[in-house]
Amino acid sequence: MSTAMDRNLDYCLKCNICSTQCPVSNNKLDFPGPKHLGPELERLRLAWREQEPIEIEASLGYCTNCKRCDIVCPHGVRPSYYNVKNKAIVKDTFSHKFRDWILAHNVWWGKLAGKMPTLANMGLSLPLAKSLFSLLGMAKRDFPQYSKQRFKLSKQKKVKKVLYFPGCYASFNEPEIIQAAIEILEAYHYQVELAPEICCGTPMLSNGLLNESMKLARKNMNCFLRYIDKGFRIITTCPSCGLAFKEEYKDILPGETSSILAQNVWDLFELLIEEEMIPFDLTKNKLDNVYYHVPCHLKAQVIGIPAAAILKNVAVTDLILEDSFCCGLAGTYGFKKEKYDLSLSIGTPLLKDIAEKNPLLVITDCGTCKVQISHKTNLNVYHPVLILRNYLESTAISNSQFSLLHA
Amino acid sequence: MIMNYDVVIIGAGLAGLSSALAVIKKRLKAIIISKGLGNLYSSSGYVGLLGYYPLNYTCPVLSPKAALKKLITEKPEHPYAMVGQDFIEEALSVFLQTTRDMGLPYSGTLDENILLPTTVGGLLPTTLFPDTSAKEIGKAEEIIVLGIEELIDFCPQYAADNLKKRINVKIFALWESLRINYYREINSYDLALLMEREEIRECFIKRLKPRIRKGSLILIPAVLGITNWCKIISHFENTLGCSVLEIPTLPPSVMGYRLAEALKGYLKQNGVEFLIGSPVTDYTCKKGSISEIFINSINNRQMKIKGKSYVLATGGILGGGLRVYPKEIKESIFGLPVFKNLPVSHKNFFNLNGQPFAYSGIAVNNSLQPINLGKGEVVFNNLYIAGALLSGYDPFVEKNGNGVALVSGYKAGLQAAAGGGAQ
Amino acid sequence: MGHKVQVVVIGGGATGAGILWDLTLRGIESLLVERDDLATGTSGRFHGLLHSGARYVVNDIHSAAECIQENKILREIAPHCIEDTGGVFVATTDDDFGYIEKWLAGCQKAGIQAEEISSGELLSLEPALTGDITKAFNVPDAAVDGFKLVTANAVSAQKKGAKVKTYTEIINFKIENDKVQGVYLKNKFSQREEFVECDFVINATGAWVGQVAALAGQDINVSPDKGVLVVVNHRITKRIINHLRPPGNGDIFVPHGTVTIFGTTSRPTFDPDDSEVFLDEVLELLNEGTKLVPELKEMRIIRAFAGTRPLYEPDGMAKGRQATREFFLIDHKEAGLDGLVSVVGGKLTTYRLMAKAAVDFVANKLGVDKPCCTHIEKLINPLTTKKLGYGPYICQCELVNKEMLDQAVMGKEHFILSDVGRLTRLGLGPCQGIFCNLRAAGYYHQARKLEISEANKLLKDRVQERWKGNRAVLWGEQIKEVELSRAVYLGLLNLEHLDNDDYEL
Repeated sequence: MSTAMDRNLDYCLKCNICSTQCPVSNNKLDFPGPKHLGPELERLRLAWREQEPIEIEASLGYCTNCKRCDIVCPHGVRPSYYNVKNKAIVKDTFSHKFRDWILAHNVWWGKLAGKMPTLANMGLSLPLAKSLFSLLGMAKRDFPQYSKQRFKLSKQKKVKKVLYFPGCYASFNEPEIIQAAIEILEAYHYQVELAPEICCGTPMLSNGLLNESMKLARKNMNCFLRYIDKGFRIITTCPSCGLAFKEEYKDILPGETSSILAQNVWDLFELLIEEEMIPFDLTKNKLDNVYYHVPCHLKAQVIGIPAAAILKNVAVTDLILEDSFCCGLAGTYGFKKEKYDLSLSIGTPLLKDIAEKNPLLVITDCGTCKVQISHKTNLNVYHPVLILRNYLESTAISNSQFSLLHA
Repeated sequence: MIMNYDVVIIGAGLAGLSSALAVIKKRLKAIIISKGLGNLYSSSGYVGLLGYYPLNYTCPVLSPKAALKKLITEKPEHPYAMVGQDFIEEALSVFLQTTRDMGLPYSGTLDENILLPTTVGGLLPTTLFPDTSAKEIGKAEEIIVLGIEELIDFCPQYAADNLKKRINVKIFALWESLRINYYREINSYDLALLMEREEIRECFIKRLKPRIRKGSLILIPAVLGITNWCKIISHFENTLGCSVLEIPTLPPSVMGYRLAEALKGYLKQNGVEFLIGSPVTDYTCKKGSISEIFINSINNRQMKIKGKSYVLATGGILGGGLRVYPKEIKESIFGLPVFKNLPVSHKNFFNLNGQPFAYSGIAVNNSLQPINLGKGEVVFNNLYIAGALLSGYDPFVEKNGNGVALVSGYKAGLQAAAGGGAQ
Repeated sequence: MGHKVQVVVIGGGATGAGILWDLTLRGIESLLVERDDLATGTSGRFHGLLHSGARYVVNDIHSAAECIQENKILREIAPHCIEDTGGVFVATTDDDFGYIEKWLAGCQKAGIQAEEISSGELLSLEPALTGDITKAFNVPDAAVDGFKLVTANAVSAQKKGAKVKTYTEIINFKIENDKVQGVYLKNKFSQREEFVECDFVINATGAWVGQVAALAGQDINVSPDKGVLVVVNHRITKRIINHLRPPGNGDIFVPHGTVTIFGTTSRPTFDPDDSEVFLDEVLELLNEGTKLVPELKEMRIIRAFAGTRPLYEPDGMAKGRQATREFFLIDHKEAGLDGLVSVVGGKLTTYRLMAKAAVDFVANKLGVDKPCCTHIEKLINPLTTKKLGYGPYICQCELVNKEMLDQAVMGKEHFILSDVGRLTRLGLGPCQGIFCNLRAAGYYHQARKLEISEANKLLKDRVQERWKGNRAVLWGEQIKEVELSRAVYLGLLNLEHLDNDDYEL
C-alpha cells in the first residue's frame, strides 16, 4: 500500500460496468471479471495471501490485458494494474509456463528467424513443427511469416528528431511498416533514428514474467532517456508498445524516469495531429469502403483514433470506424492451445461485423489484430502507415513539397 | 484543426447523450468526453419525470404534467423550473422520436405515469419506458414472477409477496434455471448474453412451458438479450402464450445498457465523436468564455480540445461531477460555485424528502448557465449545465434521475448549439 | 410457569459468554440472556486488538501483566478467532524519548517481549508508515475477532448443555428475603415475557452494568467512556501499529480481516447506548493517525463506529484513559442483596480472567469445587473458515456464500442481518451491502419462510444500520458509494415507499 496506484482499489464502487465490457468474462462463465479479479480480490489478497491459497487467481491467466476495463471505469479504477502485477505470482503448470516463456521471448526467435527467414517460414509450416507446437500447448494457427528488409534512412540532421520504436511485429513480420513510417516521418521533416531494442516487454508482462519485463523496461528506459535528453521524441506505430511506454512502465517501475519517458512517447499519427500536420491536397485518389478496426491498446491510450482522424481526411472516403470489439488474439494469448477457442469466440462479433459491412480492405494498427482478422477473413489488412504512405506517394508530391497546414 | 468542435460535451451519461442529440439536430459537430462510461449503464433505462410530489405523499404521481406544473411554481430553484415546461415537452417528443429511429422504441406521455414493478416488488412511477414494457400489471389475470436460479440478484418469492400488497390478482413465484455451469457470480448482463443464444433460450422456454398457464403475465428480471431483445421477448411471448414484462435489475442493468448503447450508436452514426477514458483536468478561458479544455492522457500529457461552447454533464456526487470533502463540496472541473456545499445528512436513510447533501449542485439561470450564488451573474458565457450536477433536487426520491438528465441535457445542448444563449 | 436454572448470566459480550462457558465446564446449569445479539455491545465495538499488554505497561502494570498472560492462553484455546499479525510500537521524532525508556522498563517488568526493529527494516515491511520513525519495537499483539470469540464461547457452552437466549431483555428481578429468586425476561421480537427461577445472577453487562443493577435497586458507579473508531477499506499494514507514547487518541491501527480498524478517542458519556459518531471526532482521529500513516486521509474510510468502555473506579469517578483497565467483582450482598454479583471494568483481552473470577466466586457460593479449566479447554470454531475459491458468492466483497448464511442463523429463532454480518462479514466491505443485503433478505425470506413484512424489515433495518456508520464519513469514495446505494435502494427499487404507500392498483 505504498503507492497511490496500489490504493487504486479504493475507488471501486462495485457497479460492475467493467464486467459488461470485459471480452473474456462475456465469453467464459468461470472468469470472474475485472471487478472481482482486480480491486475486489486485491483487497482480499492483502488479508489472506500468506494464509490461504487463492484458488480464483488461477483464472488470471485468462485476462487478455486488453485494458477495456480500465478505460470504461467511471470512478478511476484500473483493474488491469492488479491483473498484470498478480499474473507473476499465480501458479501454473510447468508445461504452460514453458510454453508461455517461449511465446514471451518471441524476439529471440524473431532474431533467429530474421537471419534466414525463408528457412524459418518453411520450418514453421512443416507438419513436424506443427505437432511439436501442439505438444507444447500452442494453438493450431499459422504463425505470422518472417520477413527481412533493409531500411532506407536519411542521415541528414534536422531540427525535429524522433526515435522510432517499431516493435517486434513490424521488425520481424512486416518490415514494410517500418519503411513506411520512416518515409512519412521524413516527409514531415523529422530526423529519424531506429531504436536498438525490438521488444517493449509487453509479451513478458502478459505472460507473468514480471522480473524479466522489468529488466527490459529498465534497459529501454535508459536508452530512451538518453535520446529524450538530446531532444528526441519516441515514436511508436504498435499500440501495445506505445501503451507499455506510456502506462505499463509507470506501473511496474514507478518513479521519475518512467514518468518522463511516458510523457515523451507519441503514436505516429498522434504526433502528426498534435503538430497539426496534414498534406494540403485533399482531393486525390481516395480509397473507399474501408473498415478501421480500433485495437484495444490504442483505445486504451485515450488519444482518440488519430490515424482514423487523418486518414478520413486525406485518404479514405467511406471509413467504417469500429471501436466496440476486441479481436480476441491479444498478443500471444490466442496462440495458446487452451485459449484458442475462447480467442475466436471473443473475436466473433468483430469478424461478423466485418463480414456484414463487407469492406474492400481492413485497417488496423495492431499486428496481432491483423493476424486474427486474416486468420478468419480473406481480406487484406493494412497498417494505417501503409495507407498514408501510399496516399502521399500517389499524390505525387515530392517530399519537399509537403507543407504544414495550421488550423 | 482536428480537435475542434462546435459543442464539447463533458460526460457520457444520459444528460451528455441527450445534449448531443440536441446538437446534431442543429447539424453541428459535437464530441463527448468522459472519464468512463456514464451511470446510465447502471440505471433502469426508464425515464421517470416525477415519481412523488410532494415527496412525503404516500401515493405516487399519476399525472406528471399536473404535478410538474405545480412543482415549477412551488420550487423555482428546481432544475425543471430552469428548463421550463415547453422544453420538457419538446425534449420528450424528440427523445421518443429518436428512440424509434435508433431501434429501441419508447412510449409514454407526460399525461400519465405507469407503475412498473421493481426487483423487490415495489412499484416505480415511470413516464417513458421501452415499448416492450408497456404492460399494465394491474389488469393481468394472473401474474407469474419468474426467477432465474443463476441470478442471485432476484428472488421471485420476495418480489411476489410484496406485489401482493398492491395488486389484487393471483401472483405466483417460480424458479427456473438455465442449466449452465458457472463458478462465479452471474449478473444480469451475463444472462442477457446467454439469452441471445438460441439453443439456450429454446431449452429454457421448453422447460418453462408446462409450468406456466397461457394468458398470464410473466415478470422476469431484465435479462432478455442485449441487442435482440425484441426478438427474444416475442420468442418468449409467442411460445408461452403469455405476455412478458422485464424488471430492471441491479447494476449492471441490461435495460440501462440497451438505452446507453442504442443512443451512443445513434449519435456515432450522426457524427458525434466519443473520447472515453480520461477526465478533463484543466481549461483556459478568455473574456468570461471557456476557450479550450485539456484532458490528461494515460501518460499525463495534456491533450487540447476546443469548442465554441461546452456542456458540463459530469453528474452529481455519484458521477464525480461533484467531489465531496469532509466539510465541503466542489465542482470537479471548473471549480464552479456549488449551491449548498456541505455534506449534511439526515439520520434516516429512507427519509422521504431525500438527503440534504443531494440537493447540492450548480445553480443555473434559465439558460442553464452556471451562476454565482450572490448576484446571479453568469460564470462562463459558453458553458451549460445538465443532469445530476444541477442543484435543487434529489433524483433518487423524486424518481427522476433520467428525467432531469434527459430534459436538461436536451435544453443545454440546444443552448450550446445556439452559441451564447440567453444572457 | 417458567423454568429453573442454577445461574442466569446477563450480557452476551465476551465476559458473559466466557462466564457461561466457565460455568458449564464446572457443571453448573446456566442460562445466558442478551437483549440484542451476542457481541453487539463493546465486545463487537472495539479495535479488535488482542493486547500484548504493552499499551498498559506504564500506567497500569497489573493490567499489562494480565494481558500478556491471557494473550498467550487465547492463542491456544481460540486460534480460529485470532490472527497472529504481531504488533509494533513506533515512536516518531515528535515523541518523548523519556517515555520510551519507561515503556521498555515496564515491558520487561510485565514480561512482555519487546524487540527493537530498525526503522529501515520496518519501513521495508510496512511501506505505508511514516519515514519519520526514531524507534520501533515488535510486541506479541494480535488481531482478534470479537464477534467470533464471543460466539465461540457461547456455542461451546451450548454444545455442553448451556442455554442462550438472545434478543431477550431482563425487565426485572424477583427478590424475596433480600435474595434474588429469579429474573423476568422479555423477548424483543415476540414481546413474550417469562420468568426464570435461579440461585444466582451474574451481571456481566459491561458498560450497562449500572442499568441492570438498578433494576435490583443496586447502585454501581460505572462511568461509560465512548471511543470512536474508523474502518479503512483495505489493510494498510500487515501488523498492528501502536504509537509509542502515552495512550491517547488515534494511536492504534489494527489490520482486521480485509480492513484496518483505526482508533480511538475517549470521551465520557452518560448513556452507554450512545454510539453516534460526529464528523469532528473522525477528523480529529485522522489528524492524529497521519502522524504514523501520512497518507491516511487519502485512503478510503468506509465507516465509523463507537464503542463504550466500561470504566470503573472503586473509589469514585474514573476519568477516561487515566482510569484503570482492571476489573472488579461486586458482591451485592455487601449492599444487602444476596444472589447477585456484578462484573465491572476490564477489557476484552482479559475476559477469560474476569469470567474465572466471577465463576470462582459463584461456584464457591453454590458449593461447587471443580476448578476453572477454561485456560486449557479449546473453544469450538463457530464458523468454518472461508475458502478463497470460485463462487458464486452472495457477498462479493467479503466472499460470503449461501452455506455461510445458513450456518450463521442455524438454531436462531430471531435474527437481523447485522447479526449475520458480524459472523460472516456479509456487507462489511466497501459497498456496505448494496448488493448482498438485498440478496440475503430475499434468500432468508424464502429459506426461513419469513413473513414479507419481516423480510422487508430485515432489509431496511440493515440498510439503515449501514447508513448510521456511513454518516460520519461522508466524503470521497464513500459518499459516492452511499449515492450508489441510494440509487439502487431508492431510485431503482423504490424501497422507501414499499411499506408506506397506501394505494392499490
